[in-house]
Amino acid sequence: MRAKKTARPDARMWPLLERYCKLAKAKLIRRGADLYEMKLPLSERAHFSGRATVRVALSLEALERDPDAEMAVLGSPFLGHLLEAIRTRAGRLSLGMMPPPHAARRTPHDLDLTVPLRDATARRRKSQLATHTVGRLLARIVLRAGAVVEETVIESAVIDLATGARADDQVTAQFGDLHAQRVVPADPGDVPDAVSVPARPPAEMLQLLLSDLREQSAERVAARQVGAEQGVAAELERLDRYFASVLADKTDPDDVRTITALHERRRAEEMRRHQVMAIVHPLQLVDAQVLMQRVEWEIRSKRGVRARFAAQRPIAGSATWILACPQCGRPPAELVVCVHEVLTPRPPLRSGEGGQKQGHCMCDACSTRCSVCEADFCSDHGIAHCRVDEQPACEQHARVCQSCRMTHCTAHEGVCAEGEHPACSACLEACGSCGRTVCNRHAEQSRADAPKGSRRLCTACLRYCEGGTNEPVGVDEVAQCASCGRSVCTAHQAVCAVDGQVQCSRHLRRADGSGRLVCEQHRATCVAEPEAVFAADEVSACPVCGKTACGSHQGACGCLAPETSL
Amino acid sequence: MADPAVRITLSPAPADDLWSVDERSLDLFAKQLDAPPSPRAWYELRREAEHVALVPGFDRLITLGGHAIKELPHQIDVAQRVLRQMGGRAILADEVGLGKTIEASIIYRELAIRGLARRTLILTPASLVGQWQGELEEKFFQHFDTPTDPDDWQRVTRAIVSHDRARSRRHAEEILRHHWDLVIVDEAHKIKSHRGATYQFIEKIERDFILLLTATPLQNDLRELYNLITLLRPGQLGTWEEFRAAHLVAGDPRQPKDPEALRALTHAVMIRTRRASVVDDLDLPPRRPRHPAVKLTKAEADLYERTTQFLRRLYREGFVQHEEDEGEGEDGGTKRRTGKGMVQLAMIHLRQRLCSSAKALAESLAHLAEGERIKPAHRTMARQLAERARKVKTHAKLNVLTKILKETPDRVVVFSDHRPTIELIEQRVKALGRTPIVYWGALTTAERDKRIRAFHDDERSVLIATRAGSEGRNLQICNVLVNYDLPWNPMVIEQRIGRVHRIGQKREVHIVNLAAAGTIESYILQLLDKKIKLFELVVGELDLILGEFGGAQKFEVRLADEWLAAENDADFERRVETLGLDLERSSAAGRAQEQLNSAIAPDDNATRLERRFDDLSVPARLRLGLGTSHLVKAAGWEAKRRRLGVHVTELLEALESIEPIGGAATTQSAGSHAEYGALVRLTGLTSSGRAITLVAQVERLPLALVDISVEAA
Repeated sequence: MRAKKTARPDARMWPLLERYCKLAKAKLIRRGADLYEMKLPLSERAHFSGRATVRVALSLEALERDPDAEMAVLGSPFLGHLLEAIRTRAGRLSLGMMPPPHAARRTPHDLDLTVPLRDATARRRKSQLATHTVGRLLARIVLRAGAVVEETVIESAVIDLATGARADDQVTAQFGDLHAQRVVPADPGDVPDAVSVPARPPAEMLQLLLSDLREQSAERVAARQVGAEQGVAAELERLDRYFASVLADKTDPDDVRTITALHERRRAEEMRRHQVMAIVHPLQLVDAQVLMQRVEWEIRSKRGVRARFAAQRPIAGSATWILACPQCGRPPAELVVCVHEVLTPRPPLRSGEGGQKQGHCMCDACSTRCSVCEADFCSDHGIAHCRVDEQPACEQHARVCQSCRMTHCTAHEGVCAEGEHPACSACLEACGSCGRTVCNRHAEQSRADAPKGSRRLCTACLRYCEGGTNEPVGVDEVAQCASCGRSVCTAHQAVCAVDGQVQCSRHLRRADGSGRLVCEQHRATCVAEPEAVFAADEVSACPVCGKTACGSHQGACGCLAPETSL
Repeated sequence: MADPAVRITLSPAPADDLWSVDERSLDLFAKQLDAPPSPRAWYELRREAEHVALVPGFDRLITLGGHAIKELPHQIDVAQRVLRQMGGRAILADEVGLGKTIEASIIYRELAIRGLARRTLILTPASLVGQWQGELEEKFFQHFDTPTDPDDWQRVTRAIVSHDRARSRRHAEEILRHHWDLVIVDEAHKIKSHRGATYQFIEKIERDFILLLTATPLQNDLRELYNLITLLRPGQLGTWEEFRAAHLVAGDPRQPKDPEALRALTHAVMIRTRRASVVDDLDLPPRRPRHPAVKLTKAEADLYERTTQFLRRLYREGFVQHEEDEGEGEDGGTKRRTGKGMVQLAMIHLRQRLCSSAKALAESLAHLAEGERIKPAHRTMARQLAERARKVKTHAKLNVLTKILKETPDRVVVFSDHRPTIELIEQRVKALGRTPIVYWGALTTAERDKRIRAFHDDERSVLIATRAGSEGRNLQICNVLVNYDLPWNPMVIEQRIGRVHRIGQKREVHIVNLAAAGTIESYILQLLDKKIKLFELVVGELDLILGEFGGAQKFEVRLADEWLAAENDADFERRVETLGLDLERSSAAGRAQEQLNSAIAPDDNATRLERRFDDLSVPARLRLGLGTSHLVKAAGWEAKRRRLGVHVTELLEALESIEPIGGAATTQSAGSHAEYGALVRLTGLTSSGRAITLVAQVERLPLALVDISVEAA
């Protein structure tokens, strides 16, 4: 399996391939310098398009010798398959229990909660030994701005996955030792009995780890953003100057519209090109168990909502107690109880406690005060901004507008007259025709060139003019076509010259001789000119045969004898 | 750890948050959290794989190792400049033949691997759609679709489409419905008019990156250049009125008032490499053409004369259509071949075999005689001629080839496009005690590889190849090439020569052309040698010379028409004279066009080096000189670079790591060289951490690279 030494485009490929084959039990058979045949076991074939064997070239020379082989370089389909095969594994590594020190600390009985409480009181509930899971996330961060892309793999700090707090230096160092196999994990028999505090739900846990990664990358992202902002400003300045000059001498509305659309398109492209984006790909989680001393309090708000809060310190770590906000994991300056209770406690401390209403607390930074009821709430139980006044609202006073689908508070809500549904006040306005209040979804704006100008029209008052280009107009601006009943606005109306009835454009045409407009019903033909159109009052019928003829062709039907005609 | 039924859903981020979590990675991660922990070995492999999969920024081009081509330094440099300095929007205006397609393809690959070119659209003239598709597939291993149905655009993310088809109503609607990350417009001079439908269509395409490829951004009027640059980057040249007032000379729309000022503006969006700047760096040995006298035997001459008369008679009687009538239909599709067209194909075959061998001619004449689409009288004539051809036993060309093979003990490549002729040559080579290796299109890929390997292994072997052998295979191991028959299309001959006369060829290349006196081939040879000067050309010049004429295909068609229409040899000679004058005019026009475009285009590296030599630091001089004719490499330098596995990009990286162009750096003296004089030593780092040390002469042009060494990362 030894490869001959040649200049390979990427020296990292061979070790990767060799190790994968060893672990996946794939056979790697050498077919020449830098050329291999990989025989895959059944379980691996799905990753390589169902193939049992794949020929792999590690250099261009090898590929030239076997053009049917696949090149193993960055960006090649083969490497894509190989990475996919590897990536289906090893998302998580468990390191086991961190070895506790021989002499465990005793839990003090006189520990008080020193963090100030907002409108609440605390009561100590219990003290116990507990095991917490601590972990570290490996993620790929893709940073994009314009034509610049930067990818890095970074590791988060070691975080207590139950509390969300960052582990102290000692625990982080022990975690590192365990990861690097410098120490062995503790035997479960050597660990004293302790209650297991589960990690937070995956989504929350990931949010915690990701926010740590964001903090780590903040400087880099900010630098990119500054560069991107400067870049886009210069590009937009050039575009605006150019299009303003081009538009300066244009008067034709069509030209103006085309150029404006082009200007907007190019602007949007520039802004999108320069937009900074940081995309996180979570890759691997490494976790370990750590033995903790844990003290728990029950906090009761003035509104009667109860929540639990715990302090903990690792047996093996420093002697400092860790107080972490249950939301963000940071040390709280003040504790606040959310006004909303949830059915399942968060987090459940013991089995059998689910199913009852339980409140939760958070730090002052994670809390918001509702602008309607002035109660404190967490980010999961309300909205940060009402779309109308930008003020926060708790879950009880937050709504989603059925018209714009954005969130608003109950103080800025009204009812749409069409369907009687609620909507935010920004979407509600009176109909310009009937005066009822309707939402944007149930209204349309007529154009400035409509007979009564641009107006908001509710569904009931809205008509589409058949006489023009189907533009919206008000019911009070139209008449019905006498032939088909469709609406025609006063600006596009025409009447039949014979009976004076309003008609739409489809039912009117000009008489060929006189040029008068006539509807279908009042059109007539002349026996001498069957292809020509006349108005009904421009022809007369022969008293004998009943055929009609125009003034110039009276008697053309031949029914009246010359001697009898005048 | 996680509930298996629960998918991780992160709370939505505010709309203005620039952070997001990749959904696919998140789903995979959630599944893996739910599964039992992995063994450590897999964990470590995955960790390493994630580092391998990392894509760096554009300071390093990473796809170069995965192409089936050896990119030239100037092509790498162009790709880097477009990606790093021009934000992926540029006019690639290299002179003809320097590889604009390759440059655009490298740029596409580099953007694609970073996820910046997920949707890519290539617009090209209909005749080049297949060529683009083939090159991307074969050289870059990238499959592009060529949508024919407007509904195809729903699923296609990488497409090549002709200008005409793309702007047709139904296709245009579908194309404009999507956002395209990268748009490449080939032969962009064809869309030079801002009032043209294609120009206006391209203007409407939403795109992030755009490349316009043309060797002649300026043909007749500076407005064309203005239009292309404005399409690429509106406002770069101001409004047309501003541009006209600042840069146009009254009465001459082609000449800029101040070429220097215009160059300063085009510099930000346009790159043009001049042939003269890079041709010496290609380090190609000279071509040595030989045209040994070939005198047809009496029987051969008689057969030639009679067959010529027969073909001309058919032509006069209207059986031979103009070849272009049978060409491409709308949107590049081939027109249905008529019965007359079938006969015409047989005629072309016959014409091509006329000078190849009597054996090949006999086969084609017999085939024609069996056809039902010619008159019985013509069938009889064809049968008689076939009979006469079969009786020819002595082949003048074969005898000349025998002499050449006897004089050349080394490998030889013999090209012929006709199977019966190849069989004749094969027998003769065997009779001479050498190994014939026949190579034609009917062979499987594996068999082709096997035969090329056999040619490499046996230094006395003779490779007898058809056109299939002149496409895509590198035969620089050999330096003697025999054109047993001369194709009427000069590009085919150039491609044959290109198999042997290419980068890596160290010996003089002998091109032996077998053209029998008094035959059409002798006239072709005369035009190729005297008018086109095919055997002295440097890279890309054939396209330049034949550009105004209409291209190599047009040359073949015109030559065939003149030959068939000629009353007699004297008449044909007069026609060839006119053809020659037209070729000279085309060549002159092509060169004038090239000069004009070079005058308005920004300086290429060679010119910058020349103009700013005294102000440049040592690494900057070498960085600019690399890949141009201003830098020579001492004997063995290139071989040592290859042996050390140093890619050209690594050299560029190492030089840049010392200091960017325009800065200052100190160097260490490295003694003196007998030929080049005082030397300096300088060391730079590649992005992978290898230290590359160069020993070079940097005091005057041409610069010289004398030694190279590498320290591992």
